[in-house]
Amino acid sequence: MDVQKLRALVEKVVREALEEKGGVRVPERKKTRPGMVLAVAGGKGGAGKTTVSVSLATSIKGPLRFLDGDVEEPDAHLFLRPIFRETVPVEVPVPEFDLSKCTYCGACAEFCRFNAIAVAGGRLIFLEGLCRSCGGCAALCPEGAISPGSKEIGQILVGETGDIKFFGGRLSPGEQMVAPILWALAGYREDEAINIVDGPPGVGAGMIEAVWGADYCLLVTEPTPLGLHDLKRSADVLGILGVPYGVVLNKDGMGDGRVERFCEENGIPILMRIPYEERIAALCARGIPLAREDPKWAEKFAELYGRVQELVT
Amino acid sequence: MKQLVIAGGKGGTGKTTLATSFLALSESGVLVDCDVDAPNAHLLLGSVTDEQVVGTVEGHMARIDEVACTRCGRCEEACFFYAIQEFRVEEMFCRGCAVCTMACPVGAISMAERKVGDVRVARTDYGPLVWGELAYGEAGTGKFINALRDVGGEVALRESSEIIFVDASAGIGCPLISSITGVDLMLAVAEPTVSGKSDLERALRVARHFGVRTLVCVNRYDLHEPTAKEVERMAREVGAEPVGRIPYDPEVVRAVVEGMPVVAVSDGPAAGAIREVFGRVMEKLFE
Repeated sequence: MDVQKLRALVEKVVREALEEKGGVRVPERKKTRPGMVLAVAGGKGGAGKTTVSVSLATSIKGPLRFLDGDVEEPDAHLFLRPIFRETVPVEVPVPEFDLSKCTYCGACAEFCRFNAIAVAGGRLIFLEGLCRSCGGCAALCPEGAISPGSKEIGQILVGETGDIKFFGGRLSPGEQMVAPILWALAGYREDEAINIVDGPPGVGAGMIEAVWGADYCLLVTEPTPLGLHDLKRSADVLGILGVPYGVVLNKDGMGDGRVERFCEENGIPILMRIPYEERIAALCARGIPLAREDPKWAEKFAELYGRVQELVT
Repeated sequence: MKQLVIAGGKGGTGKTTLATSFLALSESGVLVDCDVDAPNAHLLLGSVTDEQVVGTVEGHMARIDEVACTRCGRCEEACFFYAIQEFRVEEMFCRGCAVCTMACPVGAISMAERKVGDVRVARTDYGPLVWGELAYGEAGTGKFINALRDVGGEVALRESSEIIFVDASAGIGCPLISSITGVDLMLAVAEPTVSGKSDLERALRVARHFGVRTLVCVNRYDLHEPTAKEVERMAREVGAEPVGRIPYDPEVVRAVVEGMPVVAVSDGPAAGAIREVFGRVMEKLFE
């Protein structure tokens, strides 16, 4: 392989492959400077992230965008019930092989770090499920036998509910790459608006991309050893990304005091407590935002947002 | 040897509560915690002893030689993952594809090894446990889960275990797919909420896509019985058989706070229902 030739090619082919071209919509991760990006995460699943984010959305006054960043399991629309007007596909590049040009040299298979390409005995096998769309194979093929095709991996559902503009990221079942959907979703964060991002559980790529560029992150957790364990990992990630955060303690009174002790020892503010009540759990079951059902909670969530604003400025 | 994965889509439905209880109820089982983002099973199995790191999964990430770098910015343009910012590689975003090494005109970028995670094995009061925590970021999730499951298989062989329980993470993406590939049966744990139903449906679609036979149980079903029924009806429609309901029971939270499997410390209604679900799942698994 002529290394110089490969490097010259990469400029041209990778960039073309990764930019908008022939219907390939590669989402771009944009750094915007919006009025406010408030992310909701927390690590443990079922801790109440969506409960908090939808109640915030219904309690805050002002131009508001709601971005559902739990693209594997999007649920916020079940509570906010937006009318969807548009479905925008999210596509990523995948290689297309022109076997009439292929000499089965195996350079692409050797390069691919994800083992998505196998070349042996005059045959080429492409395992699309393993491909991560890096574009390397197309860039280095000495015969120009690989060109960028595209694959839909999910969608952004665009709609509104009352005064709230709603954007729902969605990963298609069977697909694995969540990050490009969150890049596309971040493109809908708007200057001059309050942008609420409902994040996924865990601290994987989905969570990292959902909180990326946020002005503040609310970590929703529960007072149990599991809640604490996952809270610590979320706090680590936010520390690395430099996103300030505070805690919302959900199901307060249910477990023990170790989350509170951890927050106290580490100077993490507990900005809100939601008690464990069957009534609240039942609202969840029916898909009703707590703050919409109960004006007292609407006030509390408006206050919560006020505190976040103070902390950010 | 059989493999049962406990999954379900939505977070917080009780996957780990069931997985740890199943380990406690089984005569000879091994539990592999594949929720590598937020592993919790080791917090619910009493005392964890003889902990050993039996392997380390390595991945790759780009490294820029600052002295050789001419700050031309081509690497940043070539990186699909936005992992290079201001001529620096951001570890959490780098997937190790090595495209930047090709794009660099002066050869200033090389690939370095980095740790994806340690594979840990330990004895617990209720059986052997295999688990590991993933380094922050996505790179290597599938590889790491495969390594955990491989080690789980080795432990099961050594201990002559009949069954491997795989505790999966929430979601339907890469971690779930890696956790369900090649298992004999999946038990999906759901909850009777609008989100629980929607999330379960998406997880069941993934299971069907990969040809995994699936059973469903509804946890805390009495929080909203009409929704619980809807969840079961939906499950039946997509070919997943309901195998039981578990009532809401404060004893479960008590067990979590004590760090024990609920069936080990309680004879309450939830523990009783989990025992019944366990019996039915075992019947299906070994029929």
